[in-house]
Amino acid sequence: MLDTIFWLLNFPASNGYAMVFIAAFGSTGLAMLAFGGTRGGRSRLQALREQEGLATPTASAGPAVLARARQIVFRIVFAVVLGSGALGLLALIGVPVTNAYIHANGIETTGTMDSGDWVTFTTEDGTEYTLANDFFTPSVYPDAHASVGWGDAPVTVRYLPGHPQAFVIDSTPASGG
Amino acid sequence: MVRNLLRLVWLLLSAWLIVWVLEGLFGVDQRHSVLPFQGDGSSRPALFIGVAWGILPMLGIFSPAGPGRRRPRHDDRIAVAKVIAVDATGTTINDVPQYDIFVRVTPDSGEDFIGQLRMLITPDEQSSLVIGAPLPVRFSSVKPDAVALADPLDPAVRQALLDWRIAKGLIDPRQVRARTSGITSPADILSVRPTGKRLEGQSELALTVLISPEGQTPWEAETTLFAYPQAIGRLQVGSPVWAMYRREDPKTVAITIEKETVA
Repeated sequence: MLDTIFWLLNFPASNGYAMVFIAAFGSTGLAMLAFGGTRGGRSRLQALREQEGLATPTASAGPAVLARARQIVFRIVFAVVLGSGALGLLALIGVPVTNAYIHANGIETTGTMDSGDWVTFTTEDGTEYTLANDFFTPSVYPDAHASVGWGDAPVTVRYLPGHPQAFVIDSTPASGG
Repeated sequence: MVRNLLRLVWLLLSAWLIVWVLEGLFGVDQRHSVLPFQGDGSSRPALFIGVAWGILPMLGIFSPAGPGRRRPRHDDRIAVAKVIAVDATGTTINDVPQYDIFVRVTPDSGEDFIGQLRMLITPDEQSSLVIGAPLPVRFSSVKPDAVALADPLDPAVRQALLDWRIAKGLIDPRQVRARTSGITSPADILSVRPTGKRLEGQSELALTVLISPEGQTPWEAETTLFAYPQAIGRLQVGSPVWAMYRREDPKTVAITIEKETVA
């Protein structure tokens, strides 16, 4: 259960740079969609039509239930985007939001790195994963700024057993060299 | 049109971002993405696409379009509408407040409907915009939500309003020929008596008028007229009005307050 949560949280944390921008630019528009009043011209028109007892000459924008459902969906999206932005910001300033958990609970294996952007490792069940390692929020723990995997040197990778997409590169062996 | 195009773009960007998130969460080989623009796997495309996705809703592409402004078109119909509500929109332009006027339009054929009219109204014009005031409007039967004010000085509008009055029975069928193709002469009201009949918010008056064309002996005629309550003040004994009649039947007279030319 915790693994699943941290797997989900790890995505915005490991893409912090993009997430901060998306949240910064997206939250205003999403808030308008999520909390914007229903004081539209159409709804007033609708109310007056009902008051005067006249049928609508055109199909309206949709029943109120639909508008309400849309509002709720946008509220969820708004919360997710804002939360992702906060996680991304924390990850950007160097707080190991999810890395610490993954480091403590992950399964250890050995992998290789390709130019620092890609980490390739094989899990217990034999699947080979090639996963992105973002430049601004590298999945390196405990020392996020450690230079790991340059050249062909193998790296120690810890991944969550159910979700190998949540991984950290262990900087402990590399920190010495 | 543009709004729908932007909505489509927004949906495409949303789809891109959803696939990006799903690939990040479930992808086994993330180096090869199904997404376009996701070449080297950096988060930069996601950043730009996410920012664009975030900015688009701020442009108001999801807010209801509102009735907007109507451009006059050839197939517009003309009818008389009655004001049923006046709301300030909160916007002022050059200190002139903008209002949403909701009107009940009574077309010459078909059912009544409620339309909306957004316009700027100066404070001195505002006094004439009371609930129940009649307004000539033009509307399209395809999109009746937004109506536009019809210019009452436009001959085509006058003709349409006359047709509307005839269709609604506001002009006695016996007077129609005089009203549409008669001679216009000055006249004075000798007596006024309400008949008690009401139609479309107008009251019928029975009038005796003295018609006095230039260079002819004046004569009296009896007639009836439907008038808006606002106009009754101009139909008192002694008020100058205009009478329209046909030469062969000078006793059948249609009365107008403003001088009407035969359309």
